[in-house]
Amino acid sequence: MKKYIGIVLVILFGMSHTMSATNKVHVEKFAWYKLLRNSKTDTTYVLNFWATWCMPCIEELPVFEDINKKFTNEKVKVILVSLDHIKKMDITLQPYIDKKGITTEVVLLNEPDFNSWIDLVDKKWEGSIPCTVIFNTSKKFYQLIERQVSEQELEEIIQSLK
Amino acid sequence: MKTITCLLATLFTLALLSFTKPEPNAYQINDAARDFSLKNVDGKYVALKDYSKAKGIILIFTCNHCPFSKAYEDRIITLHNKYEAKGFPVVAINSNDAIAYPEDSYENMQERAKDKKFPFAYLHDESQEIAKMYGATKTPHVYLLLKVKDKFIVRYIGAIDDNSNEPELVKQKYVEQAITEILSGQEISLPFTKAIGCSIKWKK
Repeated sequence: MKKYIGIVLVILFGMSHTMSATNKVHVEKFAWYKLLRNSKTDTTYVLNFWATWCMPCIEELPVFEDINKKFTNEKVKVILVSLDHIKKMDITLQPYIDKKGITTEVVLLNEPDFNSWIDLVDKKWEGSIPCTVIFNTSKKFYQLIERQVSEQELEEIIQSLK
Repeated sequence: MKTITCLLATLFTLALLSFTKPEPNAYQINDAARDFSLKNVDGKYVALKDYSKAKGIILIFTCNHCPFSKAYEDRIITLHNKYEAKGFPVVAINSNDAIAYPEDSYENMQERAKDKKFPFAYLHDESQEIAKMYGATKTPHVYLLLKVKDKFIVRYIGAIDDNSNEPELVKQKYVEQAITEILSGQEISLPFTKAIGCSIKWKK
């Protein structure tokens, strides 16, 4: 009996542990992006627009995970901006983040009227994803990449902003 | 020195970027759209000039696999059923690389057209030449063409409406609005819109 209690305790502890370690997706509106983009900071932001339904985006996610880990102690902030539908938040997005053990911050941008904000990010953005925006306001640096990026490419940009 | 190397690397990347853009000569509003001849799901080839009685064409780059394309399937059928009689039939084109997305192969297009009883032509742009020429980047991506003399002129480029996932919450039906404006002789108030979609996968 004691043995079983022990096992149950281990399982419960394990569950609570993974639960507390969950990288919780937070939902934002476009104002969040505007605020971030206009903030006066010497942090280099790497924002990747993606979605769980977008195969090339999924392929590319490890690049951002690696970059996030590599620059964890530096003034670099990587954010995965999901364009998944809000109804998919609990059934698709959060389970995906948990399953893949993604540690990079994830935001669900809940703005389904795309035409109202795509141009406000960048007039050059056609609307396809993956799409990555890199900026450092104090260095007056900004770049939009509307395709998959390589780790080397991102790293070079980040290094150049040091 | 290090800064210069980094700067050069960045410049080089930027230069590379400008060359890898797939749509160097994307169509703009009021450009004349070039005709094509693409294989329909029934095995016959279809060209714009075949639509001799139409006032225009609702040309939609779409595909089988993309969740947004799927979300719009029924709305595309409705568009065709509503506007074919008014002179604006739908012509759908799939330009995706079937190696990257096997779901978008010609055989699967035939199957989907059959399952959904597509009332419009669903064409296979196997060489991807037409998508590149038009500047289509994602699915669904609409080009509303108006026939002026013997030319098809691009009058609207963009999304079908303003809510891909929830048809019941749509506020603005961009394509319908543009056709209504054309039919009543008005200027198109919103000739260009943007939406998130699945990128068209180019062949390697």
